Amino acid sequence: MSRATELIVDIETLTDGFLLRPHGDVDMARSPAFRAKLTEALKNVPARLVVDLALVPYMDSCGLATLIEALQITRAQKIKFIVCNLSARVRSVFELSRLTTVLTVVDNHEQALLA
Amino acid sequence: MKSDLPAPHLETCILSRPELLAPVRAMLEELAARIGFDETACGHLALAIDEALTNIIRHGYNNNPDQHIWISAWELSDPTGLRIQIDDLAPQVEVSQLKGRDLDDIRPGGLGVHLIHSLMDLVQFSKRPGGGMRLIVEKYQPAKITSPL
Repeated sequence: MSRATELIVDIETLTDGFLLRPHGDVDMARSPAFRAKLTEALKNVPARLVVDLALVPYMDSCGLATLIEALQITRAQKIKFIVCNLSARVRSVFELSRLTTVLTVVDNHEQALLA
Repeated sequence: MKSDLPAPHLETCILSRPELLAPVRAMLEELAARIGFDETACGHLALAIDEALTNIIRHGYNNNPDQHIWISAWELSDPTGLRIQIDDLAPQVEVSQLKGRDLDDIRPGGLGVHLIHSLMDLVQFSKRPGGGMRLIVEKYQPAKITSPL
């Protein structure tokens, strides 16, 4: 996998689930790697899955589609799915796509653990 | 790729590979910044072009990585802004089919065209006479307010 398609994702274990922190742009090239990490975390059917986007400066509709897929799985499996730490740029894409109306989006890591 | 317009300020051709989206975004964002767009507008422009290229790679070329996409950009003076033309040689589709999904229908996919329309001031899809599709988008800078004094 080349650096252009590779996506580093830190995975932190929480008391009731996992926190994923991707590093870098999430676009068509990197969304398959993002999807693979989300799928891996969801295999364990945690009570909570947090995606921290603090280190994601850019996300396009492929990244959004990956989050929507995860949302559908978490809804079916009754997993709390929370997205936090959106940059202004990423937040604007969420808002244009109305994703803020269906996803639980909070400001920071601490709020995500309480949501 | 020939056009009826004067020579573009920037013209490039890329292969239909997702890993080339990031350098194209960076190039167009830098061009927009040098023309005078603010950071938000530069980001919107880069996202709109990214979405257009993603659609061509995925739907037009069916993820074949060895097809060509031509990107041309013109600085506009009246109104001040940027015009970007994207040409491909993908199978032609009816322009009426190129529309985004209903945003209330939350599902993966179908957001790209909606985002392009939301982010750009002019969006024009057409069939290229020589085959393939053409997208022309324009983004204008807000008019400068000058003091009457």
